[in-house]
Amino acid sequence: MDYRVPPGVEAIEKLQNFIKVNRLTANTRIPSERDLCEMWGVRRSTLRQAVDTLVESGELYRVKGAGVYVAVSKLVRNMSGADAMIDELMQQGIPMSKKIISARVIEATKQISKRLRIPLGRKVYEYIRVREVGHIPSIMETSYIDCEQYPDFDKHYNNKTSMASLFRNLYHQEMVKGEERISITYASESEAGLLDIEANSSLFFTAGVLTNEENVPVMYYKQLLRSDRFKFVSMISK
Amino acid sequence: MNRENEGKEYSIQSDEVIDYHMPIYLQLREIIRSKIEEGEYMPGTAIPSENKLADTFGINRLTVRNAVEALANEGILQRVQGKGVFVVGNKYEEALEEHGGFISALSTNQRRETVKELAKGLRPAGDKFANYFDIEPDAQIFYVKHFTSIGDDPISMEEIYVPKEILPELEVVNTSVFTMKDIFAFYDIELYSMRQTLEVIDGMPKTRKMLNVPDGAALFMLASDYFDKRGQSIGYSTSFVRSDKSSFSIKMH
Repeated sequence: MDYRVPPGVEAIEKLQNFIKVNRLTANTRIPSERDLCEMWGVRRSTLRQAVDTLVESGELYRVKGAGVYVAVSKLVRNMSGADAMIDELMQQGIPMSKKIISARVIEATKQISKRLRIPLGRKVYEYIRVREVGHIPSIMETSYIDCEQYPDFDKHYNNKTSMASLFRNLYHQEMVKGEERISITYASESEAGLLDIEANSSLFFTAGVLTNEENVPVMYYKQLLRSDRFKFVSMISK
Repeated sequence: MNRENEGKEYSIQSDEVIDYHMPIYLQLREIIRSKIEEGEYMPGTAIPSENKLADTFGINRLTVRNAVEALANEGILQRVQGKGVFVVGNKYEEALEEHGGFISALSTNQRRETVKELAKGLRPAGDKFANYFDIEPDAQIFYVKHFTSIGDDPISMEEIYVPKEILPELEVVNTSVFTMKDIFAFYDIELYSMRQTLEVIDGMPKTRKMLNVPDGAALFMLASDYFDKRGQSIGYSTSFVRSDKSSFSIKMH
């Protein structure tokens, strides 16, 4: 019933623990392979494989001729919605900004009408926005809002306001609940251009509906998030 | 069943003596129930096969099936296709799922998953897990590795780490049938909270090959941390999931 930990796995765990215990932050160089081998009594080839694995999994990165560095950890996209995430990142001192790429009124498609629970063909606002996080374009977001329930939304919404604060202050709606689906998609040419990545890079695709306290849909949104910049975190407790 | 109800007693290979005044299947039902209550059949483990029970008690297999069926209907046993009949322990009154957490949805229509246990055993915690679980580096932890597929399609590969002192019963529990959440509940270990992290991993050629991930397709990594009331870690798992075969959904609160 004993499980023998392969030497390669042992080296990976030692490396991960070393980074954690010594609180090595992003872009810090780790000691040379030779020093680490000596310290742990690990074979050079074993250690190199361990480093390779952690480079592949995105925990470390290599700079040719200079060494191995601790990678920047991914930003946390928590599950309390896009706006809560933005507040949190701002509190951490990460500069955030957004740009409205397109704003128009369209007729609700089957998908939109189903999600917002409104008749097919009803007028809805459609906003496409790109968010920069730490000066790097990272999120592309498309939102749909019913024109009838939220008249003049377009007169108040701009690059400087937040949708959540508009709903709260102007329409007295608190967006509370929702359900979200997360899957993977690959950047088209135009999405890649807007997010400053290569075409076909993997992106998180999430779609969800935010509802008010009475469970009435307020907004239907779709988000594309750069998978090299974000991870999703969900905390559940009793 | 009348044939078995002839009212005569004979000795069997078990301590239990069958009393022929009560329908046999009801008697067997009570025997199994008491074996569960007394801890001989442990939650998360399989009870002996129907053939074996029939042999042991010298009764008809159909009778055994009726007894098992009765307990399955009570929710005490659970039949798992191709794996056997398992003892189900206590459930948490409040399912954590209702409070959020990623629920994986496989994008295929056939929902028949096959979970294979690739490895299971005790290993020393080592520095990493000693720090993580706040135990000594030479304390033992369980390591379990699963491989899940649907038909011929590999879907995911999961690794689970649990300190032995937290859940010594894990040695006998079938981890390919029940989730860690279920197993903690079976043995009254308070799972107070759980953190799940979902990210995309671009590299890992070995894992990609093992899971048959098509070129250009991404690989999900879902890590779960399990905590008790004091915020101490009591379990950890990571799973690599093919992104072309699954999506995740979540309820916000």
